[in-house]
Amino acid sequence: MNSLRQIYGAPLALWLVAAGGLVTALAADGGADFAAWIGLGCPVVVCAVKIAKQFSRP
Amino acid sequence: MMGTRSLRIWLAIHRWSSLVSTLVLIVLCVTGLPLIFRAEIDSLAGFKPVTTATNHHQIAIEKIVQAAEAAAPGQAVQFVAWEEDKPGIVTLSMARSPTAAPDENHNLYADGANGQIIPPRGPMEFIRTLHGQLFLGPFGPLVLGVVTCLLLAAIVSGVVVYAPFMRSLAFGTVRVRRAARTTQLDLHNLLGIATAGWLVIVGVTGMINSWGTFVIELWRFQQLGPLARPYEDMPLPADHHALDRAVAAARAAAPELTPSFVAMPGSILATHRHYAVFLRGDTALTSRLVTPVFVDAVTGDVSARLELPPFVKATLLAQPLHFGDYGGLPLKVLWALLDLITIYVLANGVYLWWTRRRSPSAGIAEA
Repeated sequence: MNSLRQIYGAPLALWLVAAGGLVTALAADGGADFAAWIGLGCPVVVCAVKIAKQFSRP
Repeated sequence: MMGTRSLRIWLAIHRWSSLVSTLVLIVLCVTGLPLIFRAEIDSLAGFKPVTTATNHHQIAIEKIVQAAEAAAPGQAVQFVAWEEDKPGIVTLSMARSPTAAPDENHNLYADGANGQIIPPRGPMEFIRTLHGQLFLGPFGPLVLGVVTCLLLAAIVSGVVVYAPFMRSLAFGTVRVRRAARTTQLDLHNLLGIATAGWLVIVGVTGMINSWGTFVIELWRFQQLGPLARPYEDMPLPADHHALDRAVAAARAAAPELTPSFVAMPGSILATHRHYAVFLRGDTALTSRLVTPVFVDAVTGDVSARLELPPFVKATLLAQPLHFGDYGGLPLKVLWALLDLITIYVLANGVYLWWTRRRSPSAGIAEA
């Protein structure tokens, strides 16, 4: 049985990275766009990797 | 952990708040997709206005306003704007009259170098109206507000019911060798929970954007009212011969800022006596905020430089966070991918509901 920390830990980390990246890119000058790319890229990549792994299992 | 009764209640909230708003949300997601790339689509389709000048020298703004009003007889220019993504181009927001509500305004574009009017309106204008107002006029923002509240209820309840479903599963588990419904449920859980943070930001900022008219009304009441009231019964200036002087005076009053747009006397953002010149900064953050400088249309003197209240600044900052158009093409591509994921989650949510109707105990049993 997973604890709440185990259940919500990963999603919470993804939300924080996404929100942090978006706000940083909005507020900071000079090349901070990458912060938003990383922030929003994380949930997309995590989902893609998780799904690909499960579907590619023999 | 959660009892069966409370799980049933949260599931019911999640199910019905999602189902009631699904159709509108799918319309918003589908129309939002091309809007993410509106600049690129307009450009590819040949609708992006382009200037003939190479040095972005601009003729008198008064002449451009005259050209716009000649091109649209019986209409009045309410706003003159210099948009960052259209260098050398002047955008003119046209209304039925100088004092008409701006809900039905349409844009004309002029070459800043010679004042020539450029044929307007790409396909994105239609999609933007559908996305922002659902063609419901003043009721559009209200409907969108209700739908956003339902969306937030769906996300919060979705996050709550996620836990019982994941009690014995690791994050990201997709049971591909089980029944199709189980696979779809796992995909719904994974994609929904991973994108929930982004969806909350887009939903809330979308609601703030759609309520922009109410924010302006509140600002008029609070900050513009004392400046406008003494001139309410005054006739509007007969022409705009003082317009260029007003912009120059506003520039002098705020030399660290650049003109973003001018609200003409009588429009919703100005008084009957003043040009309101809105200036923006040059940093990432201040370029999205504006400072209004009110210039007397008769004397040419600066009457006031106002600091916008926090609720107006929040509305201005909500725009880039809703459209994702401030981080270059990679951010737009990510925004589009997340939009597509949301469409998938909405559609497979309907599938989960439909298949559960045939087996009512499935939802609780899977949890």
